[in-house]
Amino acid sequence: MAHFEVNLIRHEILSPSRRRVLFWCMLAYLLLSALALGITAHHAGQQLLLMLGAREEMARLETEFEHNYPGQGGVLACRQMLETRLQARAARLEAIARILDRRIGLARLLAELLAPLPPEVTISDLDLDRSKGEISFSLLLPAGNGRSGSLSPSQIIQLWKDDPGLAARIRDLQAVSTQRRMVGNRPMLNLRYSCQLVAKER
Amino acid sequence: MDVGIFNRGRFIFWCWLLAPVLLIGAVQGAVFLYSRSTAETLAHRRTSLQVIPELRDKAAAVDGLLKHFAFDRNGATPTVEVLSSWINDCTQRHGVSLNLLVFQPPKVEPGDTVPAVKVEMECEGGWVPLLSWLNEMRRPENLLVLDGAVVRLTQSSPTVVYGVKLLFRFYAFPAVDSPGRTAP
Repeated sequence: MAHFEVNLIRHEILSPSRRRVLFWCMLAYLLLSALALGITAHHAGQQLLLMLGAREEMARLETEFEHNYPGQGGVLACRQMLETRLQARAARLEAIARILDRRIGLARLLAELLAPLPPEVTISDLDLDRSKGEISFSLLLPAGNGRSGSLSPSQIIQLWKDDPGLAARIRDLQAVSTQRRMVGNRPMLNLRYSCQLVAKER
Repeated sequence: MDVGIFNRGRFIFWCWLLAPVLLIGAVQGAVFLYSRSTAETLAHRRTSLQVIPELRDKAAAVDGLLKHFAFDRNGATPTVEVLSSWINDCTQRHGVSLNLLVFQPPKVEPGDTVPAVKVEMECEGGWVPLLSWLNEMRRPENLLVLDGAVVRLTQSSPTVVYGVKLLFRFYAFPAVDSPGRTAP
């Protein structure tokens, strides 16, 4: 009986020459890899030594800092604490700035309203409402031919408008009414004005 | 010279090819990450050491500024009794007579971030005493915000007397030197 052997996976079997080439290629590859690994390990060792030095320097810096500023809990903790503290202070300063922005200098306002007017003129009443930004007030001045009596409400407004300090504090100044009345036995003029407060004033 | 050691199957073959690359990559990666982390930590410490004196100076400057706005130099938030006594002393010092003083409990008003005590007061005095008293009340360290004011001429002879009604908010911050550790 004839016996035949048929290699059905002939294309998957390497020929001896190709096996030799593959073996040497693999060997060369492994040798190169070993060389690269060696270089890498050397580099890593150098790096680790450097980092060891860095760690020692960090420890030295911490010791030096602790010696100079005891009880601070280290460089980073101290920096963190100072930054937190500054942030808190900044928030407080902002709050104070907002409060200062809303302040109204009533005494200064009253003084500036009377400053350009003759001395016999007085403020008889004043109403201020900060939420509405409104202020209304009355001037009491002797009626007649005196220095103050010759001033008309619009002239008084012009005197106030000419004052740059006052102009920066109030706006929309207008005369509301004029009344003549007797105070004691003297005829007096009661001039009523209203205006708006300029928002920002320190 | 047995290539079979490398070529026992596809998986083994690729293992021989990839293992060295992965090993080198792992060593490089680990060292790179460790080096970077250590270098960053060291750099952060060095920067911090340079920055700390500057931060300390800034904190001291801000604290000095804030001290001007602390009502109570001892560090306490003023109580209603303290405020009442201060307002009373202030009016007396300027010859203004205090007729009414009403305090509301501290409260954070809409638009505010700090609590304020609302105060309503009525007083009487001459023109100049009133102005000087109002000026003292408005000193920068007294964080007062005037909400409303009514000024009426109550007497014109022989001397001028005004009646004043004020509604204001008093903001009081404690002093900045809080207990505990301080900056270097």
